[in-house]
Amino acid sequence: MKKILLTLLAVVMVLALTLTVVACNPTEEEKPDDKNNLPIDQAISETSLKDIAKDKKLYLTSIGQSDIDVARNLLSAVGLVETTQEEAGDFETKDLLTASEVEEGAVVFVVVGASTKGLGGAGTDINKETTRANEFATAASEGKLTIISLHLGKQARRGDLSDGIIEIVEKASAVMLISDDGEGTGGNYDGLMGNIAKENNIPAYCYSKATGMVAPLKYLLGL
Amino acid sequence: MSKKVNIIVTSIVLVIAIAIGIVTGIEFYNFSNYDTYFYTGNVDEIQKYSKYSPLLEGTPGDSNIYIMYGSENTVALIKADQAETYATLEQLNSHASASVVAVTGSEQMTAATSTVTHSINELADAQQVVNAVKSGSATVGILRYEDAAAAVKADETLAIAKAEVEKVPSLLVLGGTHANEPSGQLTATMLLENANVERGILYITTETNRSAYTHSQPQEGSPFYYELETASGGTRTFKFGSRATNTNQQWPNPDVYTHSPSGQQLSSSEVRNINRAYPGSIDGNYTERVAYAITECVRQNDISMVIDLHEASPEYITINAIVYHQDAGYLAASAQLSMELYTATTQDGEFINGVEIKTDASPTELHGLTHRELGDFTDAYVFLAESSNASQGKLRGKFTPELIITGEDKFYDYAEELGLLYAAPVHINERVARHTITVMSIVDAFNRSGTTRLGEQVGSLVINNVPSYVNIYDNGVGYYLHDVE
Repeated sequence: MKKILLTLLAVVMVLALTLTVVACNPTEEEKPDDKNNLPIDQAISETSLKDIAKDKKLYLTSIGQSDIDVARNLLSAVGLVETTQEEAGDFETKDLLTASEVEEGAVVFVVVGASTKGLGGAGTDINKETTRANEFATAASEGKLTIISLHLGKQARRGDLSDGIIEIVEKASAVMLISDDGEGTGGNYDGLMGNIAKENNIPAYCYSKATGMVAPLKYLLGL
Repeated sequence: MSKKVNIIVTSIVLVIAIAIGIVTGIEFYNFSNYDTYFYTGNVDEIQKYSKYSPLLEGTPGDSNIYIMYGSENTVALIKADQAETYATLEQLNSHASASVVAVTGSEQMTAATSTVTHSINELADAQQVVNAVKSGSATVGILRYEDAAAAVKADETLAIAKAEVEKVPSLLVLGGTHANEPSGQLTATMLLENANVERGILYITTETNRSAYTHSQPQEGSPFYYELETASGGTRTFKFGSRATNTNQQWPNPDVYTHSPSGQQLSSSEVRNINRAYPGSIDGNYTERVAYAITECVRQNDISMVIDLHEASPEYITINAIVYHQDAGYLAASAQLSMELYTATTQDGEFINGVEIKTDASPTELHGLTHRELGDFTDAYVFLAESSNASQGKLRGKFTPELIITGEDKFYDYAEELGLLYAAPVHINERVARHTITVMSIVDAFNRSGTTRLGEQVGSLVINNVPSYVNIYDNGVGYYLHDVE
């Protein structure tokens, strides 16, 4: 009798478990939802931003150590030549550039978003990157330099590790360029950057492809 | 039951068990020894791994490296019995008595004069150069590889000197690193059977870890084979093996795998994974010897780029991605942007608006992988590409050849609806198309500067007759594979 009851209990438990699994259906709330609140693939409209980087000393860095090579390619596509050890060019790239190394009045293209592999490869960590971010933000607020922030890694460069440094840098930016196609997987998928832009009155634009940033970069650079 | 009935039942069960054992054993033996067909009509040279890692000779892991030389490469033609004398450019230049001829007014002359210190006599055409070397009136003839190769084929007293008269770019494509990641092998196979190298050198492996193709992954229940239809309606059969080296070649294994030379410790499950064994060791465990062969091939041939083709389960984060050694970051990003700009319309009218791919740096603290160790131990730009493979994942249902090919699975569909996947599982055609455009985009990125990692100007690697993304998407991989001869 005991054996039969135990067997019956086991069957009921299996049935209950099966029914639970079968009953799980995706709801509207569980599906990815795009909350992008910025214009996509539009030209920069602010005339105050035209030529903002023209004839200025230019730097490129990453805070979070991600996607700097994509930015290097974009600046080359715009027509700029990167400074090398052998020859001076139009822009200088340094992964761990600090605000104190930047010439007064310069423009710094800052790629934001954290990569654990990038942090490890550069021998740094998120705390040190946050310090750098704060230093750049302070220098920008004091008018010593201008930040053009680039978020190129879409949703992969968002999250706990990235969002802190994104907020610090983007709040101090003159303009924000973000890779986002409005499909729910872009850098501004949850509207975070749009909110930062709105609250701080900073022009911000999304581009469905990173290569879409070539034209706005030319606008900023006066090319 | 009576004792007699017990004996009868036990005997019947035993006979059935033995019969099953024999049948499955025969099946497994056949699988283990099945040689996958690869068309090599475009190949100029086939090397064995044992050329670089001698202890592999005669073993299942002694795989092939297929080599295609560019028809326009500048090479030196010599008498075959002088091959050792002219094994390097330095030797060529050091033999003061050597007389050198080359074709008049050609680009070969420009390339030759930059590396060869001898005065060069000009002749009217390639045939005159060949005749001069044959007759002995010249020691070395400088001409196009295509002409030199034809001369050597027609006359076994002739040979192409190892001395590299003109340095050209080269690429090694690693397919079949993991035998349960089919699009890597298929992409390499498609390149092998179609590519026409105009300039540079293309090295291809289709079974990078051949031992892994001699068995299947325990407890996965995978099919042994899957088939693709060719353009003429024929069948090409490919094996679906294991991620790891066969224990027939490597056993026993330690509980903790200590990587050499980093000292990194990983679980025993990784000791037979070739992508944790680089740079390898000439006398290490079996997998390390295989890795050593690849590393030495890259190093000894001064290969400019290495692309290692893989797949990953759709629930894995590093997917539809290029992982690059730090020095290759610019090229990887350049390839990423090129793929983003690719547009085409399929035969069904679907507009392809870019092929999206992520790029990620190789983690410096994880050792044994191609993008880490080949980048650190050789001078090549090193990349690893991943595509999305449902048959590799843990959410799949029944494991069939159709799953390997189509990627269709109702459990993965459900997971995708729930937003649990980093990339949707797709058809093998799309996965091979993705890998192919990735390879060609990296080559294009390299060609924009034509500069090696050491800063040498070597010009462009020109590979023709490679199907485009939309071609493979529309026609299927099988369309571009040769029938079995």
